[in-house]
Amino acid sequence: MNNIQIKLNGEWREVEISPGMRLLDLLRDELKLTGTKEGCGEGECGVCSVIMNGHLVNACLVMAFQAEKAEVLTIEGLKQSGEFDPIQQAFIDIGAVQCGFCTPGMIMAGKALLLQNPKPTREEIRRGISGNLCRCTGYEKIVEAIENASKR
Amino acid sequence: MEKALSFYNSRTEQYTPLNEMTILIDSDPLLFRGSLPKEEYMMFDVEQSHRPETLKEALEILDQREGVFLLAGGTDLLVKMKEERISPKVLMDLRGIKDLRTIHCDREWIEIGSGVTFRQIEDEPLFDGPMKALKMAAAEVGSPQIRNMATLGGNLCNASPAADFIPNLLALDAEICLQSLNGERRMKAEGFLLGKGRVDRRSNEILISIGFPPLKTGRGLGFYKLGCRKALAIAKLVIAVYLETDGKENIKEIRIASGSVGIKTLRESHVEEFFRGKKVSPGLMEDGARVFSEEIQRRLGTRHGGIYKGISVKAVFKRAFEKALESKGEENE
Repeated sequence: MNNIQIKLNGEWREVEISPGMRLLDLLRDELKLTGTKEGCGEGECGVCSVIMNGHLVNACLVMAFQAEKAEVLTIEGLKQSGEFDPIQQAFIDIGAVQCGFCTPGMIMAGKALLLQNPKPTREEIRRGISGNLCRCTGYEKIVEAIENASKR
Repeated sequence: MEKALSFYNSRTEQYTPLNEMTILIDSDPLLFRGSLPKEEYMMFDVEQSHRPETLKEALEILDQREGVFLLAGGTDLLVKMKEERISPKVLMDLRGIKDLRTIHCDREWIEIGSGVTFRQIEDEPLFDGPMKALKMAAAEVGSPQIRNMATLGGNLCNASPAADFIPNLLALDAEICLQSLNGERRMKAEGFLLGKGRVDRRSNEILISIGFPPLKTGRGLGFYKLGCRKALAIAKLVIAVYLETDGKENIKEIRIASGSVGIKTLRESHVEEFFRGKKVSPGLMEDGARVFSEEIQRRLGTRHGGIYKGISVKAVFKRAFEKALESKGEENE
């Protein structure tokens, strides 16, 4: 067991971790931030996507100790002072959510894309979410929602 | 519980299996992972983790301790750990070492740090011109999430025969550099790869960089990957072609490297031999593709995917070859 400093959703925290813990275990089991889901656990589905130091990563493929002094943004960190992030609102307005399991990962992928590229083309959006699987929507509405969010 | 989770529930069964499962979970909270004590649900059995910030520090740790696993990007390592193919007790993350994450370039040599991610290569303006094959190959790796973590050094040391990026390095005849407390060891990337998942790295060494000369006039690099879908596809076939011609389009040097058709990423010396000294023409490309196809058929036989690869190699090779010709036409600098 050792302690690490982590800037989680804008707030510096000191958390206790064990060396065998993944970032995903830290978020879900220790910090109870269960918005980030666990799907395949091997980087195929993207449902555990979080933004670490500005880059989209799979929390199941990062060890917790690697997040030391890192800035981590999870789906819980998007809602600021009770207001949804534009991308969250766009997902609701467009109807890009069906069963909802992929949604946190999709939104984080969309968010990471918009942080780096505020006006992406549809092709760029498709590439941006190419590491995230959705078995309900057929992606069309999701792409539309991210495009919509980019205009807000 | 198994029955409930099989989702063979229907109205006729009245969802009883699901009901039974909830009762079961209620009666035994240990079935729910979240309520287990920490040691029970911990994913991996790692006892120690290191996160050095300098290469020297990393080499010292490596020298003092036994059984240290190097974590470069982790996108292959953590999957292997999850599948229990390896179970490291000591992990050392190399991401903290800034010196490994830079690309150096001068007129004669390009040196890429082993900790450079595929995302960095994708975004590197240096590879915009004739060397765009490198960008294309980097963009083929995994998914955006994977490319943000996965490193060139990790990709090489993982030595997957289906690695997307390595054929380009072999086609460029790249050299790798290993560092230990005793000094440096340089060798060809081709010699570094020994087989599937096996490389010529000693336990006290860290792969620090990969280098090759930049492409000059009359030299080109082409790459093509065949996969099942655009993202997250393990390559069925990857081919990279390096081409060097004289003023009259005669092939002075050609290096062809392939992935997913052998126990490691390979140089296709038999096919290279066919091309050397000949004049570039569409007919030559066709003949070469046939030679390549025969070679693959001979190597793979009727093994799984062998027939498919024996045929598709022609098209994949032709595309890579055409791209090399295109890249050769582009002005450098």
